[in-house]
Amino acid sequence: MSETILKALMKLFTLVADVMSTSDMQQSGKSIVETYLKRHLNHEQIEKYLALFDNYFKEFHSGIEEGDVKKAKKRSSLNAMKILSICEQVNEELKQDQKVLVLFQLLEFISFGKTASETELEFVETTADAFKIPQQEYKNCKAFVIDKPEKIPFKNEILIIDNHILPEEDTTKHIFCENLNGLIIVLRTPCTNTLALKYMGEDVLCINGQVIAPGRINIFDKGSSIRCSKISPVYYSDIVSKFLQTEQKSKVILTLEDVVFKFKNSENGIQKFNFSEESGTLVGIMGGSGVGKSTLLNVMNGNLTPQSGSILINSFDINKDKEKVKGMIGFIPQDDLLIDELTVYQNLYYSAKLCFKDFTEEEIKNAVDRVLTDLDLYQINDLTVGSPLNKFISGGQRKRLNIALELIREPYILYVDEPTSGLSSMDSEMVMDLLKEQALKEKLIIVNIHQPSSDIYKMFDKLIFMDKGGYPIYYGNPSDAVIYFKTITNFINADESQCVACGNVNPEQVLQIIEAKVVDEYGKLTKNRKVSAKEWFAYFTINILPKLKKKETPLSIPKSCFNIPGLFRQFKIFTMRDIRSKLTNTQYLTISLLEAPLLALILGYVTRHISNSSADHTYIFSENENLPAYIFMCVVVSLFLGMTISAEEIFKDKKIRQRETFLNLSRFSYLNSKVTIMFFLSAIQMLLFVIIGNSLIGIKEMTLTYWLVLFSTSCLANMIGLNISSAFNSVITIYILIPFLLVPQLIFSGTIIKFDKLNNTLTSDEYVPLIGDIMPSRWAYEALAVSQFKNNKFEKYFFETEKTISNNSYYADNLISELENRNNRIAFNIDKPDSKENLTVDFLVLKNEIENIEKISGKKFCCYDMINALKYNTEISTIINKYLTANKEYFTQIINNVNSEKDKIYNDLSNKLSGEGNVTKLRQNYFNNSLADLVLNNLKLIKVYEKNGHLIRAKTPIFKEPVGYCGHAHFYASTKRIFGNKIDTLWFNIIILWIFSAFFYVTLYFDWLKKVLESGEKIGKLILKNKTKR
Amino acid sequence: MKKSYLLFACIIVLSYITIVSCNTESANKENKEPEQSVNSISNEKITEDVNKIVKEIPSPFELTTLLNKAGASYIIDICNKPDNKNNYVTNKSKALNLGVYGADLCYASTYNKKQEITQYLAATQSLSEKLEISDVYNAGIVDRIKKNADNKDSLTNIISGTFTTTYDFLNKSGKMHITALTMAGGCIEGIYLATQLTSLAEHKKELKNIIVKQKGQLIKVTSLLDLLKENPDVKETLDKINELKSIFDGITDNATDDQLTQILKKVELIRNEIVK
Repeated sequence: MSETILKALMKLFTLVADVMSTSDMQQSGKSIVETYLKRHLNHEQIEKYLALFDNYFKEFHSGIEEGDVKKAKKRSSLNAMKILSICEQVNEELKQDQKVLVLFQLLEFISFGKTASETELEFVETTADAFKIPQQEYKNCKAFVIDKPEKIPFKNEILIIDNHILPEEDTTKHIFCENLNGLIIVLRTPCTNTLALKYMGEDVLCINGQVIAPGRINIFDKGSSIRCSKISPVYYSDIVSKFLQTEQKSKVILTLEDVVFKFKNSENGIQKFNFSEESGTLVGIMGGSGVGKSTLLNVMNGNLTPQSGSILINSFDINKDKEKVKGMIGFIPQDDLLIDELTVYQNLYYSAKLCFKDFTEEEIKNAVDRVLTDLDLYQINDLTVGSPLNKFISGGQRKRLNIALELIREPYILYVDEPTSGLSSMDSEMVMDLLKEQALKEKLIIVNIHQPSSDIYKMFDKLIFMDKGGYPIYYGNPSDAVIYFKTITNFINADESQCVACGNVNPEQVLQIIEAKVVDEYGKLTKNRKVSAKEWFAYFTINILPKLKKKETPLSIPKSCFNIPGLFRQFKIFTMRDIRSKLTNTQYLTISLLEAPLLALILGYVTRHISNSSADHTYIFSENENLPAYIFMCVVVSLFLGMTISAEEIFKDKKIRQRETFLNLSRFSYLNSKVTIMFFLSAIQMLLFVIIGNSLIGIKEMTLTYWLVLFSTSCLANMIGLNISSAFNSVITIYILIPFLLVPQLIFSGTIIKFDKLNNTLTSDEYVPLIGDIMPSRWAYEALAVSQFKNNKFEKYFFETEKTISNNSYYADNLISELENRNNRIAFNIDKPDSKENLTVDFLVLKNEIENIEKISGKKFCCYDMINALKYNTEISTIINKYLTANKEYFTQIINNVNSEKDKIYNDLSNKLSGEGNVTKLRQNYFNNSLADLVLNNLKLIKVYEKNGHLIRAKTPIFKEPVGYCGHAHFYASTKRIFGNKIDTLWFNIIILWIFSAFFYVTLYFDWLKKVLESGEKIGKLILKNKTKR
Repeated sequence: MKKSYLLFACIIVLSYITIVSCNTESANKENKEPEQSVNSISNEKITEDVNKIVKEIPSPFELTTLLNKAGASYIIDICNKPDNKNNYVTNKSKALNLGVYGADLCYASTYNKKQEITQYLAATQSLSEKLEISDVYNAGIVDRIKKNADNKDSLTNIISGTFTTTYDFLNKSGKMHITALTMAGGCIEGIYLATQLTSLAEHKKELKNIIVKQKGQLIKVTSLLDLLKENPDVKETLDKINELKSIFDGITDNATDDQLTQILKKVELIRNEIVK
């Protein structure tokens, strides 16, 4: 009994004593108090409290005259006032269950040794009223203490324990206890769930080792048991479950039958485990570290599938009838599964939304509020959770919130892994109280616990001890565990389960007994245990296993409200949740939104170069040599930003995802929500980037094009980032990996190293090499460079004509000239010795390319069969030369025609813009020379070269028609051919980028990268194993 | 106090070292210049004569135009490869090959071979830069050549112009021996091209005439080299060309086939020595 309770009692006693009698009140009252106190306290304390009693007494009675009836009446009304004021004080200090205790003591006090008077009862009633104890319950208590059990008005709150077997029609709660002399009446006070018991009989009964006097009221605490040498113990949980039974609508029984689980390539796991427990029980699993406690939980909750045996909820196997047991199981892992950026309320809210499809917004809010109140989290509901390093709520609150996340969907069976680890003893107790409460609310709670305090230990209804290798070595009542282990190892006073004086159990003692080490001849501890895990298991099979009874399992299964919403609803909820959490993270938000414009600012500013030759030092866009670099950097920035914002996204949610997969929430919806948010962010980033960057460097009227390309690139980078964030298991790895993904993008983009200058094993002559084709950077860069050149406001007038001119000039000036050279070379060398082999290539080229020219110009060439070493002569040489000259003239003619056409366009344009000066201005503002040099390949001297008997054009790639089908083309091709259709490079490349994204979406969905990595790891381990074996 | 003295001493020593090292650098530069100037000032008469002869020697265009007119074809294989330009390390080989590439450039532009023109232009430009005559090839000239690619006459003018400016520049900066070597290289390459083309049966007669006509040019080049033979590089080249000249000297009016073969062999020898 605590001091506060005692003080409160003393005050109340004084008042009661006052009403008892008016004459010798102090003396008789004092003697009663004294005898009362004797039952609870030692001598010294009695003295102290009696003194206190005297003090209070004087205080109350000062200035009151005796014998005056009127005054006595007055006084009693005054006393009523005093009662109220004392009760007020008590209300502030005591918890409700303590108040119930005080009430019991009061009742016992007034009926002590005599029958209670009317006034006394009246007085106690007032007190009960002030204590906010319901009238009904007060009546019950009064009847329970003062009257006979038959008079108790609300029968369903009492329970009888005796040795009679009740007839079946009797609805009174009853526990049959063989050999019990007399009977025990238990009364429950529903408002606090307090159990009080009274024994009427002659046996020596003990509660927690303390002898109870017959007829006395005893409060029966959590984890207590009634023992007597003659009877088998009656546990708190037995009694409580009786009371709960009637409230219970549907019972759930979890049964494990011979469950065996073994990890691959390991002896560890769970050995032949049997278990049967019904809802309303709090089961603890104890054992040293590494004995398989968490494994057992994971097997029980279905995360791990056992090799043999079955796990049944009622009659449904959790691994087979997944659909039936959906929502029945809750699991609270040891780690926090909270979203750090959201508030306590939001965490619960989204969790609830994801669990209850059919709930209205109102119902969800109610559910959240209810859980918040139940778990005493309501006052912090607006606080952000924060990371473990940057805390806003305490560890205990975090834990409770974790539990709340599971409780909100009201599972029937709740597994909790180490709920108290890392918590203060206060917090631990609070969390355990909460779990116990849940157990009392008809749930089956199974808790892994490492080092419980005595109080927590006693809270468990059932306890399982595990030992190394996953052996179950004890299963039963917690207090009996101590006795069981002590008995087996022949401890002295083995049947003392707890300290006789303080009632504390020392759970560590059990662990010490289990793991006790053998001492060697020098008195030092050896590594060997006195009793090995297998031996303990043997004891278990002999002593405990036979006693375990399989509970009868109902066939049906209760329905759960748990019903996850459809894919789209989930998507919406995920998205909202993610947006909310991003919005709270201001640092993340500002950086990701400011990053792009800042980079654009730097890039645009740095590249805005005024050429030295510029006359009046004004900026001329066309003279800026940095445009290609700018475009390239745009692509790099989009890739970089895209990758970095997404690289941590899935990784960050990994734990939450784990829980959500447990709830069968859709990965599809989750990924879609991620992708949507990432794309949206990328869209904003790139828009800001393009607007600022382009306006600084002076790119006009291309914003949409740039944005489209860079946005597509960034989205692709998002997808890559999401892939790695899903596959790798540490942030460091992810960020180390980013350069590894980005550097090839730079190398193989075709800008830093030209595709024709790559290592010869990688290059391809006609087309962009494969390594380039798989780089998003190349597609993005090409799309931008080509459309910047082709679609700018100046070049768009001339592009087509320039294309025709350039193509024909290639035929006339480069191709035909080269063929002439080769023809001359053949003629020059044909008569020389061993010229035959040297000229084969020339003959081949000549033949192939003349054929080609014939196709283009339509001029028939007569003598293909003469172009070989055997038939070649001066005559054929002349024929070829003539043919080539004719074609050259033909092509030159075309050039001349188109040139005049071009002049016409120019003149029209100059008329339209009123003046040639304006055309020049247009060119200066829109057409960039550096970029033109690049896409026209002006800087390269060799415009045509031979490869495999064909001549390959290196001149003006942007004007060159692509040779390949299926979009295969040379770099800077202005169009791509696919199945005979020409598609503009801009659109084609954007489509390619999106195809890449789609591909990465698929790999992300199926998590291929992770699977590849895992199998790689396995192979690596195998190789290592083999090596070490050798 | 002691410490501050030490610091002071350190500063003085350091600054002394810096000053001395700077001075020696500038001294080295000063030492170099008089050597060059001695050469240039040594003989004003030579300069005058050299300038005179240089103006008399025609550009290789004269020869290549004749070849074109004679109906000879453009054979790229007989020209020096443009990629060889990086192989030339000594000033002598650079100068000689600048002449060679000049002749090749003339050959290509006479036949309007655009790709080859750009390649030989790049080669001559590169060698000129290495000989520090980069001023001739400013951005303007390359653009002009590109723009006039289709107009053979103006192309010829532009390229001839670059030759003249090159020689002027060299002579003014006292590098007359470079001029002489370049001209010798051009001359040799011209004769080499012509002799090589004779291996084709057709137009042999016309080509023979053209080759014989080169005698005059050869005489002028030798006299130019002779003026500057104090320079060992020039002397060496002069000796070789004199061997060729002696064959030409044997020709009176019409060269015999035997003489032609001799010329072919000799010029091939000298030319291959130059371009290797």
